[in-house]
Amino acid sequence: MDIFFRKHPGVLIVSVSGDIDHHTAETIKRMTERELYVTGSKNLIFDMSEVSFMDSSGIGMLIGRYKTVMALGGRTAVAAPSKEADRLMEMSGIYRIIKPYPTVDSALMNIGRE
Amino acid sequence: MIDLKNSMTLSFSAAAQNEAFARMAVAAFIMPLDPTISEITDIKTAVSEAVTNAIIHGYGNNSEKNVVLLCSYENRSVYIEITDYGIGIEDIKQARTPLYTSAPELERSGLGFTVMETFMDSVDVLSEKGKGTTVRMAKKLMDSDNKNDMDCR
Repeated sequence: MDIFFRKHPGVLIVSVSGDIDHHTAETIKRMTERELYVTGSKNLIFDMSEVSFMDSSGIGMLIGRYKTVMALGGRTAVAAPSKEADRLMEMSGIYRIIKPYPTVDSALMNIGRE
Repeated sequence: MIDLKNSMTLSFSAAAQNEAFARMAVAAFIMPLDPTISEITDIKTAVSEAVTNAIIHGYGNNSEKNVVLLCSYENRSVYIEITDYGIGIEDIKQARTPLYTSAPELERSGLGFTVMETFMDSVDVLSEKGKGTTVRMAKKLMDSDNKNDMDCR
């Protein structure tokens, strides 16, 4: 699993590639929390286009970050989920609280300007 | 012609990095059946959930313990059994309830069994407090005649 961060005004974009399971979700959680703190961002976009596998640990990790960001008064979005990630997220019902967007740009347009 | 009856057993440390090993081993083992991509993903996800439960809930992340994984297939039916010898589940019905988790502080979503039930044809849980838990799952793969259509969807 690789993780890459980009900062836009008020928005932290987290690009994850590879597998998200219990083992890697822990790393994503730790690094994202640190990056949110360091950058002072209050909104979060997860770019899921390169996720090759995800189990329910990924759902737990996303809900955890949703709670962090909500406490900061911000919003969380998912961008361009891969087929593998989308199937599980759709099944879990997480899209009711974390909205998916087809691209990072469209997610930025929707949550970055608030 | 391939003999379509086969079985394997793995025993590995209850360490988080072995979750990927377990699901990839099962995926590799069933390859002679030529499953569809979506069947492989379903089975890998279910294995990952069961192994994660064994590691986190069964053994409390004690990597000195071992998880045992059995996988077999006969014709196009795949059978998987994942066992831990940990604390066991006191109330299986509650554990299988969607969104229930005994470890909310670990950011568990409580969807593990729901995912297994969704992606496999059958899931049985056998558990005894203080002795451990076995999760038995089965999935029948699509016949070769139908699967080319499905892979294109």
